[in-house]
Amino acid sequence: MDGRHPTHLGLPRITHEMSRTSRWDHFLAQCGLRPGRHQVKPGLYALGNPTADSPVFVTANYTLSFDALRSALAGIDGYILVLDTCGVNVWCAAARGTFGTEALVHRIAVTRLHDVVHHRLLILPQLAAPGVAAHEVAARTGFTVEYGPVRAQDLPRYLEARQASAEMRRVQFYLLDRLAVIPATLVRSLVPMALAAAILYATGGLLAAAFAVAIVLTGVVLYPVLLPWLPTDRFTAKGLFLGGVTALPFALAALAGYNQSPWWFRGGWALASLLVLPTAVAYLGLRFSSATPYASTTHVRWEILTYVPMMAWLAGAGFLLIIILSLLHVLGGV
Amino acid sequence: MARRAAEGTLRYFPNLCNHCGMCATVCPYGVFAAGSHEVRVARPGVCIECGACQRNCPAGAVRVEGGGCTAERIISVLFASRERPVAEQGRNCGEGRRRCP
Repeated sequence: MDGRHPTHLGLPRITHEMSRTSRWDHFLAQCGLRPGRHQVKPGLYALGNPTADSPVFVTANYTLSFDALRSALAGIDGYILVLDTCGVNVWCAAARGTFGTEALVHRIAVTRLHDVVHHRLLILPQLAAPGVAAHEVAARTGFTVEYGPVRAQDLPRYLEARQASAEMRRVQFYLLDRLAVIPATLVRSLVPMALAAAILYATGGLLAAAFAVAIVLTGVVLYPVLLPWLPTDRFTAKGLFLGGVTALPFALAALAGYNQSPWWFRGGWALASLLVLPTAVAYLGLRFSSATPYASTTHVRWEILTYVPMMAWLAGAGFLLIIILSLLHVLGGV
Repeated sequence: MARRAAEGTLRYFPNLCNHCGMCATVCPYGVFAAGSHEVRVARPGVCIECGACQRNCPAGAVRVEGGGCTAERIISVLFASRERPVAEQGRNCGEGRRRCP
């Protein structure tokens, strides 16, 4: 006997190393491609060479969550208990209840965790807490739930000190985190953007086509990057501001261009860009609030009630103006 | 992001509290300050209503409306008229929709 409990032998074995397949999968997941396919089989895994006294870590069956956990645990022997969250990350799955008390109790039972380890301790990611009631899990299974740090990468430090610092317990949204959200949104926006650009190119020329591209680049790329530095603490107002700044050169170009066209035609295009771009970016910003970790439902509901009706009127007027100007240009020869 | 335009739904009932400090442990924004004999709502303004404190309070001393990750909740607010909040649908989970039982 090498100290290993015989039941370990049947468990799938994993390491902390990332294969090329894993990296490719991460890339696709980050770009929002093949949604729903980034899943790990739920169950119990042996990481390295665990004994019956090794720690048990619990995670979601999203490959990014699972792989972040195992790569953070380099050099540590333990078990990873994977819940079936349908390929959704820990925090969102906790909100949906798929990473919840029920799911955890069920997974403990079907993996016969009581027979695998001698101790009765589970380490969960802190962000599982909206779904898992630690005291209920303890009452129903005998396992004590310990909430580890928010980020898997802090686990080695956590395991050393056996407690999380205040900083490890906080959700952060640094530039790198914000950049990570961009590719998926950008990929989703490409087709609508190309369509809009093609239509606008036919009716309004290169400048109008660039306008469609500017909306997406400002709302999807610039907005997340600049988020903390944009004025006010409201997602919509931040978007209106940023969109307004981006719209200015378009408005000026519209006024300066179309030399042969009458002043009201040039002014019309300038006004349309000032109406549409800020509201479109504000909308994308409001959507982006859902990807940030610091928007409360109450606050966002308040923003929606406050800003969306006004945005709808502004955007409606802008689109109507664009349609009229385009028709005048195509049919009327202005 | 500290200031909120609307008042949040977080409510703390000190008379029910058993001072276990679990709310302070699970909160990702340090809303609660837990000492050995008292818990204070130190920074109510930064609460994102994720619901972790309520779920893990064994004494029922914390209540908050909402729960979970922001994407889930905000999308359900934005499209409230068209579809039920995903969290209510239980098994209907976004990206895994087609494969989930």
